[in-house]
Amino acid sequence: MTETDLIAGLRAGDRAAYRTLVRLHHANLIRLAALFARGNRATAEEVVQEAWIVALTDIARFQGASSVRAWLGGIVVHKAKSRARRDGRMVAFSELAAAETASDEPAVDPDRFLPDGHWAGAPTPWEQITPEREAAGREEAGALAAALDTLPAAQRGVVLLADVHGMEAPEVCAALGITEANRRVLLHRARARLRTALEARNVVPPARDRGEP
Amino acid sequence: MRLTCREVTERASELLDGTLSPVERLTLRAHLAVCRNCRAYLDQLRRTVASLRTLSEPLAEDEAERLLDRILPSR
Repeated sequence: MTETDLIAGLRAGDRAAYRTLVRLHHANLIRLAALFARGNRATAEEVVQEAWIVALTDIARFQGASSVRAWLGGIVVHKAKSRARRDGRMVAFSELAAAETASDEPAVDPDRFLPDGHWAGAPTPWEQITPEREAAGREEAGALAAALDTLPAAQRGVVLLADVHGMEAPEVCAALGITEANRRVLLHRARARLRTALEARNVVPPARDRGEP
Repeated sequence: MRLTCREVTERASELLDGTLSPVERLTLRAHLAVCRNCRAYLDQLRRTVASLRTLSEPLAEDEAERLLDRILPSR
């Protein structure tokens, strides 16, 4: 189902379209809400449920100017921040961002480079994911989600909003109350860490194809 | 200005986002043209970002149904 078909279904009040929408996005939205709820799962569930009610009520007003992901992410951010404010538990992302960017964090382990700054050996080649290797794609998504959950909070916030939810840079900065310079550094570091996590699980790809465990 | 591979890995994310200055972008492109390892790194970073953009861990059908029962107005 394309996004256009999906939105048409939602506007028509088609329950199957609603089901498709919540199935696709719920886990990412919980992850986003949990970030603002300091990891409190119950609060995150309540926030996302409130956000779904708003989203499904307002679907007629969705202009399609942004993607569905960015639109849903924006509603969750708004609800999650209101809830944190009400609970007196706002997360100070600007302070987290300052702390996370205060020290150097190389994109790639310095040991992978020669003293002159060139690669000591090639980056490990990655397994190709093709339609026939759909399971590998699902495993990769699972590994990526697990790695996302281990990122420091400000990095996680930026990569969730910018890449997972596809929000524009000014929206990301406004949602987290961080500067554009911090956004760039945090996004760069988050992506580098996630690439490293995927590389680690791509180290021995061909073994399975030979029937080994 | 010539870049080391290590410097390329520090700028790769911004290359993907198009936020480098024109000079930085050209310098990086020149390095990538002759460095297979950095091209491999950039491809992996690009794939990581592409996977993030489509990341979805689908909710089970029955969980989705229960959620819909809570969030849809009864009619």
